[in-house]
Amino acid sequence: MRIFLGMLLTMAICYDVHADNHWSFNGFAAQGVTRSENSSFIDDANKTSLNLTELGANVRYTANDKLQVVAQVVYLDGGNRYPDGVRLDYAFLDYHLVDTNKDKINLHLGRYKNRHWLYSATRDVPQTRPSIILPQSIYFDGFRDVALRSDGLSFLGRHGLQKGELEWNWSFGKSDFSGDLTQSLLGNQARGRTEQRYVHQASVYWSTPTLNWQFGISLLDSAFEYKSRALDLLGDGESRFQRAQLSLRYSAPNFEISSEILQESVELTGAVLFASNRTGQGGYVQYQHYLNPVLSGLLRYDVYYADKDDKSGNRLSTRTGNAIPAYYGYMRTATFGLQWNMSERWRLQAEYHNVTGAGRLSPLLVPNALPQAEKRWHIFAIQFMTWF
Amino acid sequence: MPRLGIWILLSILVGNTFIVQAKTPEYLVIANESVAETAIDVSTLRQIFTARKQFWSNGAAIKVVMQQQKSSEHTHFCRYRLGMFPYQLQRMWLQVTYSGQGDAAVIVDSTEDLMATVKATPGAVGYIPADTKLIDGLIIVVIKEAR
Repeated sequence: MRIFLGMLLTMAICYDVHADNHWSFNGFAAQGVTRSENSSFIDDANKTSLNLTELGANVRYTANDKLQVVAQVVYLDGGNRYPDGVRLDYAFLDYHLVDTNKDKINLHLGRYKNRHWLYSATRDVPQTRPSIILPQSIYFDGFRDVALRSDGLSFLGRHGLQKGELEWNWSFGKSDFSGDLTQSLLGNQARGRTEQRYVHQASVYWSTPTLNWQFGISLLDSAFEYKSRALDLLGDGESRFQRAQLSLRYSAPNFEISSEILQESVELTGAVLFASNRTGQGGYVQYQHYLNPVLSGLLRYDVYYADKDDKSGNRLSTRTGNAIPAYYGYMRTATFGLQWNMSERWRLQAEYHNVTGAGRLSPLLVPNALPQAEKRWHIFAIQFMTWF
Repeated sequence: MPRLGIWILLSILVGNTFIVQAKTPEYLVIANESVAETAIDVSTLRQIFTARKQFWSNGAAIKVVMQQQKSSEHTHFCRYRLGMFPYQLQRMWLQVTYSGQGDAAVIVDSTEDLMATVKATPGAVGYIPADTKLIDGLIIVVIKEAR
């Protein structure tokens, strides 16, 4: 892995954007140092770790102005945040169905990206994120691979208005599930296999002509099926996951405010340990201040409640015979971050997260107190990145 | 007396506005000789410089050439010509490049480099301060103001 990182860094230094009329190649590399205090969110608690590596390379072939073929491969190591390894991030045909001054419609066919939320399409690309770790209410790391891309089709449209622009996205597909992903949805007692039947998403954004105001609404509907195995503590089961979300962004000369809020519901049928239907709520408000083109700072408050009718988590704790502490029912995070653009293609980013609760550490569908965390915990992270 | 104060304040504000307007940097949009468009509106200009319009009307790929984000030329062009901010453009270009939606923009170090790159690259478009001495082999794209 270190050799791969070294190779990519060398390429970044020696290799400017290489392109001819039809082919173009780009990539990125980032390595960080991180430490979680009182939680195993990233790594074993209270241990400084290098498990913050992100590498990527992409290719784009422009057949003509109507058709392009694109693909990106990434290597990720985020410690316990998600399974480490190489992934085919996206690979799709991009058809330009309509392209006029007023209207534009593209069809992406293949492994498409989720473009429905403010940071969803490039959450795995470090130089596009406002912080190393995104707000977990919306960008829950355990759900990362499912929420990032799917295999199917996606329509993207833009319509010019008298005062601004409407952008709409509609997608339908499904994601492949590894054993690790099954555990991030159902917990580490799951021995069987999960299949996502479908994920159906739609979103609409309105923006002013200069994009200084953006307002969006997005919906997600997905169904999963679990097939148990011998000696499995879980039985066969099905679940339905739905999410409604509002997004807002305001950009000013020296600062930007972004916010997204969500309500999500989980319905489960079948013999699943500790499970119950629930409706979660959460969201974040983020303020970024641009001191100059080189330095910027970030303040963010993020909150998530696993069950809107049990915000203290007391019922979760009682229902599980105190096996799961009440603070796994919520999570509140205050983040402070800094970005230093050392040059056009090199950046150093550092941040501190002060967290109360562990609501987003629990698997999405079934409550579980692993990864372990105390009620109050912290994360420090610093990451160095380059792109070409 | 308070009325006099208001008039003084207003005259300072209006005066300052005139001063600011007088100092607003003017920019020209330049393109490679292969580009057929000689006039576009502000909305199309924004679409080009935010990677949302990627092909000219004849089907040739648009290659956007920009100066570094920290340069005053880039900041002024974003601010006064597009009505946007450099950090917005950087975010959009990075998202487009690393999510399979388009090619990256070419970033250069100076106005001279920008003119040379636009001249040498078919389909290229860029910007220069209006008082720059234009080199041969470039065309000026007229920006039609909004109605």
